[in-house]
Amino acid sequence: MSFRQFAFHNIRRNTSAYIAYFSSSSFAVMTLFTYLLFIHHPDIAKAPLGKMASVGMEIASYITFIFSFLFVLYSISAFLRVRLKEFGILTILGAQRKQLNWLIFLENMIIGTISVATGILGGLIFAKLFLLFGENVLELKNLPMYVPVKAIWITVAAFMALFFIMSSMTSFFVRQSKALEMLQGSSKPKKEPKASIWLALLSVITLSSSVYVIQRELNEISILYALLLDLIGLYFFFTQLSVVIIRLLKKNRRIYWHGINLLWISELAYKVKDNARMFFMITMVTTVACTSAGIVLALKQQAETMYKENPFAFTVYSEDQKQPVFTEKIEQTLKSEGIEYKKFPIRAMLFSLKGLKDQNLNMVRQSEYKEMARSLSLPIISLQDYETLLIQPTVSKKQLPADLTQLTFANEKLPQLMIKKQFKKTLIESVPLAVVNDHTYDQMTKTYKNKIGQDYYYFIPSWNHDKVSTSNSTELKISTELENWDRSINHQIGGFILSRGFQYQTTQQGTNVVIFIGLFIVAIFSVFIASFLYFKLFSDLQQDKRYYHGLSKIGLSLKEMKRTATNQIALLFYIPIFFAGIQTMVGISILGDVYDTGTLTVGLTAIGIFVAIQTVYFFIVRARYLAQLKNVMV
Amino acid sequence: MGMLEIQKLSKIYNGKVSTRALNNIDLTIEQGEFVGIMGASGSGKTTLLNMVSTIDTPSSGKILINNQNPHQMKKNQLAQFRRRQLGFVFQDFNLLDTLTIAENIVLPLTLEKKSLKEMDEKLKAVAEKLGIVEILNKRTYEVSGGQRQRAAIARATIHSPVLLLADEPTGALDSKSSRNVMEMMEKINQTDGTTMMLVTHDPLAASYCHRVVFIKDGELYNEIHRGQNRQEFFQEIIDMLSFLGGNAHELSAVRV
Ligand SMILES: Nc1ncnc2c1ncn2[C@@H]1O[C@H](COP(=O)(O)OP(=O)(O)OP(=O)(O)O)[C@@H](O)[C@H]1O
Ligand SMILES: [Mg+2]
Repeated sequence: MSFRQFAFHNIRRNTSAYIAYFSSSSFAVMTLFTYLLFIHHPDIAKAPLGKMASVGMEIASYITFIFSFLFVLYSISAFLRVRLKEFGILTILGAQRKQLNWLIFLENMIIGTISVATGILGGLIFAKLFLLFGENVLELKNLPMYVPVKAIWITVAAFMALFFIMSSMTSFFVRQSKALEMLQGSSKPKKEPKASIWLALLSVITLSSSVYVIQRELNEISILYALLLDLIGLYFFFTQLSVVIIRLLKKNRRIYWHGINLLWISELAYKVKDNARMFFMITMVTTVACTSAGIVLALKQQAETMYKENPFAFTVYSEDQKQPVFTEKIEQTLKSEGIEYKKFPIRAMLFSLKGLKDQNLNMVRQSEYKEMARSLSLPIISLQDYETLLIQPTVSKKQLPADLTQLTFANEKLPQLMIKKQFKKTLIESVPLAVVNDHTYDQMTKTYKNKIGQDYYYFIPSWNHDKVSTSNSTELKISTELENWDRSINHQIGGFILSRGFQYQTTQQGTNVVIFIGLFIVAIFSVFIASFLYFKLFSDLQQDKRYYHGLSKIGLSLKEMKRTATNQIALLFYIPIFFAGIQTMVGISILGDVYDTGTLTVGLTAIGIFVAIQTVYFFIVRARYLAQLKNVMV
Repeated sequence: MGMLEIQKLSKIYNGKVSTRALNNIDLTIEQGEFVGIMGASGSGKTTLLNMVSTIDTPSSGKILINNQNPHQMKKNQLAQFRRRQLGFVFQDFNLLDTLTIAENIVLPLTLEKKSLKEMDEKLKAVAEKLGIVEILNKRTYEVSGGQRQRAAIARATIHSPVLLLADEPTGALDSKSSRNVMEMMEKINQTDGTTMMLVTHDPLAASYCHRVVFIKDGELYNEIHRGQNRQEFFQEIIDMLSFLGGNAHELSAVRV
């Protein structure tokens, strides 16, 4: 029998040991392939998704590849560790280092090639499903199946290179001496995990200062600092502080020396320390994923409220009213479609208020406001000089206090205004509006330094309902047409058209792409995590079997074994998610202040979905694991 | 009525070829008795011990421990019976690496959710008796084989079992440690009156017993009782083994 035959037979004989490795590699191939198939779809390339989307997709494909790479790397090392004993036997039987490496190389190349083939095949089978999914999330026209030459080409090249490199580096994974040690049973039991009190303290300090930094001031730099501190803190949390905490827990014998606690808490220190780096990675990625999901979905919601609350379909901003080109274009378009409209000319002045940071308001003439108020059936009151009607937008979080009685301006030369009445309605952007009588307006103008622009607001009664418009509604069609026209002439004339429908749609599409990519990444990531944990558990299975067999002999019942093992598996699954949950909550509650609507709920929902997926995996893995252990219980 | 009653016990392993490992065994062990089981390799000693320790079920026949038939119990009940009524000592010690010696010893009591006070008292008593007080806070890999086996005996006796079962407890030990471990077992048998059943290849270990039962091809072959002198008993055991076709010539009397 030649050595190559031996390699082949080896795979055939050890099927079960190879299956896990093979299927995870194949899954990694399939993921990347499906993704590539999607982004290289001819219709996607043509779709008007904007620059951000295509960059996002590009980045996502790198992330997918890095995940796949790590995943395959991890599978290979777990797989080789399981088979260490076999290598030990081969060594004793006289196999040379070179032969052993050649064997492992061949095996890996065989498995790699087959999994690339099956991965692509599987990807092709799922492709239609995936395209349908993408179609729906991105609201695209239907995407027909095509021959994904480019996707196949990239996948084959990337993974064959990956398998080749890793197969050649096997000496890195398998140390022959270790294999022998394993065989002779002379491998020493693991030492009790050690931790440094100082590093544990460092973890506490960095974690709390991370929260402090971001709470004190919120900008890019502080977020970066906070993230860095958080990374350090979390790393030492898992590698050091956790060990210290468990050691303290062990000191409390009332808890520790009670029932099965003695069993699983003693194992806990080893398990946490062994998996610290994995926990760290899972926690970070989950946190980032859930926080971004929260923020992205909040953006989406915000766009929707903005659309619903804004009564004006179009706004024309022009610096010079002698340029009627924008209004003419709008009116002409609307007339040709036979759509009724009302136009309100507004000249708004922007003032900053005293004492309130970043708080501005727009001042408008009462005569202009009256026009608008009649059509929108808003309250109209008579105003004396220096009295004002204050209208606060509903969509902004920056609200002026409700019990405010007068307005004081940052510019001290300006007189104070008495608030006669106030109510809430979104009218002009998300800035509060102060209506004053024409005389007051003229007085204020004298001190106003900026040029006052002439704006026009278009109210179209037939378009104002509470639903958001679908992509084939008249509003969106006309909006798109006008925006396109606007872009073509924009640069020559001082002014532009803004349409709420188009803005809404752009945000929707942008966020949809991000959500689609995010979902995809979270999906593969959660599968990868589950597989990591699965490998982890099953590479320790032999050891655990011996452990429980011994305990069973001295009277550990099946029920107690199940509970102990369940605790252990649950900790592996839920420790990182638990910390990701806390971090997401902290992150979102701080970052979420920037946005207006329920960011926290959305972030928690994201975590919730993640927990649900992991729980499904947890039960599957647990069932399989317990089934194995049950056999050794006497 | 003995502490352990074995009646017409048979065990057949069904495989490609079914093996009759035990055939019609009748054996009674009285309260406080220390009995050794010997026999050639493959004669059925471990099988017998596994039946008694409820790890395996008999094909036919009956086993009564303290007048209870454990083989009629449900699985969880059985586990409880094992850890309350029985104590085990194994050749490979069967201690957990993740626990300290003290934690290993109290494990049966923690599973029973006994109070801390009771655990501490019993731990202290048993550790002093077995001379392992100094190593209580060490881990299993930090102590010698003999110490490990004494810790295992401590774990097997801390809950005062009615029957202590030992399978080759000296199998992995040198002669000095073996002697030491056997002396401890003898001491526990004498002071606590614990009934003991010991399976061994080692005539030296067997010579500490009150009675040695020999098994041949799954059947009871013979038994010899100890007189006053352990040295004489040891010689008798060796003679019996060589008569059984064992390899007595490899055993030297020097070890006694
Ligand atoms: N699980 C099993 N399945 C099938 N046959 C078994 C099993 N366990 C033991 N046997 C057979 O039963 C017989 C008795 O085995 P047992 O292990 O009781 O011998 P032993 O006296 O303990 O031997 P040793 O001194 O080598 O430990 C042997 O023939 C053995 O091959
Ligand atoms: Mg045996």
